Amino acid sequence: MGERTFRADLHIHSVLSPCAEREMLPHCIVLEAVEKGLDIISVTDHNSAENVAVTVALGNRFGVWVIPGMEIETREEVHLLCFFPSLKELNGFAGFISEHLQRLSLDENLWGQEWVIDVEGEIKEKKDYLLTHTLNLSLEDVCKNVYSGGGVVIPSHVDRTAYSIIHVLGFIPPQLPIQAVEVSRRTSTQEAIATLNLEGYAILRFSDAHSLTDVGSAYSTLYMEATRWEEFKMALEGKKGRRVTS
Amino acid sequence: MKVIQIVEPLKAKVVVKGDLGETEITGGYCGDLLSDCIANATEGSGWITIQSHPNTVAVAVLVGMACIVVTNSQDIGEPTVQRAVKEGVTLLSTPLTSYQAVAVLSGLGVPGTRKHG
Repeated sequence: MGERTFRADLHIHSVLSPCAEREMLPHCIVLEAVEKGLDIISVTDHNSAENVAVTVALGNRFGVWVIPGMEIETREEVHLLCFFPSLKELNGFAGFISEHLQRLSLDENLWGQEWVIDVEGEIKEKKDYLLTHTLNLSLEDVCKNVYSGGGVVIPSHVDRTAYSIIHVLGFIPPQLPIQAVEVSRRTSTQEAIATLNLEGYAILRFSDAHSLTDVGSAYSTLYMEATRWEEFKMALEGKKGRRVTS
Repeated sequence: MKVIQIVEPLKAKVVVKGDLGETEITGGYCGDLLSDCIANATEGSGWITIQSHPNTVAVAVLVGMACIVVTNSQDIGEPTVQRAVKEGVTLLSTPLTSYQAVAVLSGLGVPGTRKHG
């Protein structure tokens, strides 16, 4: 029927992540996405979602679908991309995450700065505690919370040696409701399936951008009817003809 | 040396007994990345780790570890305990750090071992 392909880059860090370049302002990210021909993006900062609402609003203005998301670091040192149908569910989850983040004061010389940006593009707040460290929550705790909020979990860069579910835990615990994984551009899909035992998982590729040049430098193509949450979920699950095509 | 002989020197709590009175500990391996332990740890080793995820038990079975020693009194969740009970894997918890636990085992004469020399 009306299906077509959509380009999605769902792993982008904004200036709220201390490791991101200071050019990673929500406004710049959205305009960069438009320029690169991306249809769907997500700003996934470490353990925090405070630049998501502004990015969603900008996405609406410029015709880019912004899926509310975050990148979580579990107790095991596993990174997970967590996506939600709307800001309401994301913000509920972000509150839960915040309760389990130990407050370590941010040494800006060591880590960099963490900025919350308002709709005018101004710095609304500079965080004084470190966001990029391990939560006191297990992988299972996080998955349970995401799925009960109607969200989905996609383990980050599973082929890498740092913070990858496969590297840290040896294999993906089969009881987890995970259907899709992110593989970095360093590993081909065939290689990933063969060496990492990923048969049956949807393989996604995102940029993990920390600079504007990186936005869209890797993306996945989703074959679906429209930029809607249900369609996105069906594409991950490979249902009703929706799928990840590359 | 039997696994039971390392319990006291490690000031360890026996979380899951397994067959600790009978199992020989023939070497030691220390690591928190399970993929590394799968690749390098040897059968019969005592495994010093801070990683208490249920997958730890699966890796211990896969490698044929003599026991798992979770250090720093790290929380061990019920799913991990249940899995160890089911698999008959000895699971110890020590307040010592991984470094201290390795020193204790080394002092007892347990050699560090790894696959491929």
